[in-house]
Amino acid sequence: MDSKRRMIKKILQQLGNRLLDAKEQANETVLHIDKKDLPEVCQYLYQEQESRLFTIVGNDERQINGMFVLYYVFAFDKIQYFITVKLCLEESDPTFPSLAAYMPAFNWYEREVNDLLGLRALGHPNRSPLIFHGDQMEAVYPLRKDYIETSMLHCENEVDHFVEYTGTDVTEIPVGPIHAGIIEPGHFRFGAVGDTVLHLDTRLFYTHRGIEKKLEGKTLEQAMFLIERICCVCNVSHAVAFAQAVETAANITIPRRAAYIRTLYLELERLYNHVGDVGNICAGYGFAVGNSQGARMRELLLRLNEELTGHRYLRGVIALGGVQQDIRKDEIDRITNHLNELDPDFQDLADILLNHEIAVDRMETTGQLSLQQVTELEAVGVAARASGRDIDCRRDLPYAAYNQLNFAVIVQEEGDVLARIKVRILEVFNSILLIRQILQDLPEGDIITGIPKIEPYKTSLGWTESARGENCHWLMFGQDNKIYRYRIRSAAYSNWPAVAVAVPGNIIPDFPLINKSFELCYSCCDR
Amino acid sequence: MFDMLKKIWQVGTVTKKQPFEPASKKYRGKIELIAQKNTNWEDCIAACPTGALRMNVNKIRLFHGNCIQCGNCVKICNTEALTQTTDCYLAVNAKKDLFISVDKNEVK
Repeated sequence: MDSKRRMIKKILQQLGNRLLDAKEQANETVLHIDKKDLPEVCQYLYQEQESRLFTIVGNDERQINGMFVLYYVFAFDKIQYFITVKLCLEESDPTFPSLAAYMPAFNWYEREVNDLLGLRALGHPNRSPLIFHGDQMEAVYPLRKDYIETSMLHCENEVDHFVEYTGTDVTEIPVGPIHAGIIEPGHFRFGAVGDTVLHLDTRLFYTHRGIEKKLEGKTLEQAMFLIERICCVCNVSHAVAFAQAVETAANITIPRRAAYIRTLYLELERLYNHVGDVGNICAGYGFAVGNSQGARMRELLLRLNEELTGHRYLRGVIALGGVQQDIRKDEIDRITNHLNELDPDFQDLADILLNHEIAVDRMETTGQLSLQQVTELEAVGVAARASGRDIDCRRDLPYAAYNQLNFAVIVQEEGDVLARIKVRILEVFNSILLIRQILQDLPEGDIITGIPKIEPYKTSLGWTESARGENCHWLMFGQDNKIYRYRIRSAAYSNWPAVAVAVPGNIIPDFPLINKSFELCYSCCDR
Repeated sequence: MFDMLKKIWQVGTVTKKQPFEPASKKYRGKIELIAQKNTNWEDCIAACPTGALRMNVNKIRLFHGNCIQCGNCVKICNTEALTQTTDCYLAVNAKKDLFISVDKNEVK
């Protein structure tokens, strides 16, 4: 506690003359600064203080204070605290200095606020739109409050913003957005010299459903349904992140039993994802045995989920202020028995995979990411840990019941596909151990508490570590416990830029393998 | 190689015939709507997050095409008018078969 105070005091002193206002709430300090000071303040917080970028939120607050507002949220893992830099932009001059050239992690965020809110980052090295494909004919900004949803947004002049190759030796290979398998849409444009990829351009956001806009004005109960549907395979982690954001703002703690049951569902979600993903990676080099064994174990876990909660993907189990469904004694035995069977079964699969020469040969040194690359791109989750970036918000920023459980964070150094699969395999065993601990220590008591009225225009943060990495939800309340603005930064959003960096230098047939080793979700990213 | 064959042999065939019996007990399936007197229809309709349950003058209409089977209406309902089954087979031949319409005050 003391070191936390000291650190905050030091930061406030250092930035003293630049601050217009500083406000403390729950677990963060909001620093209001002028936009000309943004580069120095961010550089200080980000580089000198070694914080990491949590999320950037653009908000239309013209109804409240006549300004557009940008929030840069930095996480300080050491003291488990957040510092938010708040920036007000006049409607007449909606521009702010870009930092993407110095800190690559800012790239997507700055382009997104330009597309959806019309706030322009001056000096951004890449002015091409991120969400809209091509240039818009008229300035329509969907996230502004005065936007009226009438029809489809037209991008009449669809221009490719891919790298242009001038040499004759480079072959351009377009792949997608419609793929051969049942996967989500994404367009990949390879520039290849012979078999080797020289450069990869990705175009995502084909499944942008405007969930953030749809959530505005919804009550918290209605919002839960939409948030569970951001992504099918991370829906518990999204729902928990939302619930935690609301609980932090309402300043309530959920019953201990509810926290444990939440952790149980979160780990069950991680378990079926990781087991399935390990199998899926095998499909990247046509190793059918691994693929079908992974799929079989995943299916068994999904059936277990259905038995426990009534939904194969655990939808509808999380409630605001607790959980919807309690767990009975016989169900605890059922889970224990299942895990006892899964443990040796999955160990067999891991042994087969890691002792298979051809499999290991395909995975080794494929799609390498260095520690510097993942740190600068702010990659999270498995992708980051496989490259030696030691972050896991279950340990760093504990939520639910994670601070009462013992577990290790698995870190590998190599950063290739093999390292990522190893992290997944070890995390499966970790999850099994965690679930056993939870079932052993499951306390008795209530499973839900009520949510009081929350004061309008309060902001709050919620986060979880999903199977893909850290999800972060930022939320501003409106009148009558309704949502004013919601921002979802999923793990996939942070990790997609890293895929484009991992691929060049590898041969084209390795791309599906590299892509699968990240196992990123398109719908989480597109929202 | 040998361990691979051993695993395949041990596991055997795992695919199953499609089960036509109802799903597991906790499964939240098709909502049944049977008109009953003194049901708090307004509250049930307000609880529906997708607008699948509606009132049209004296008719209560449930459109299975919009229903996400969350069971909120069932929890709030004060009579047995709305119940949740474990039935997971909702496919019909024509879209109009997904509309269920009952009289508000019908006695059964």
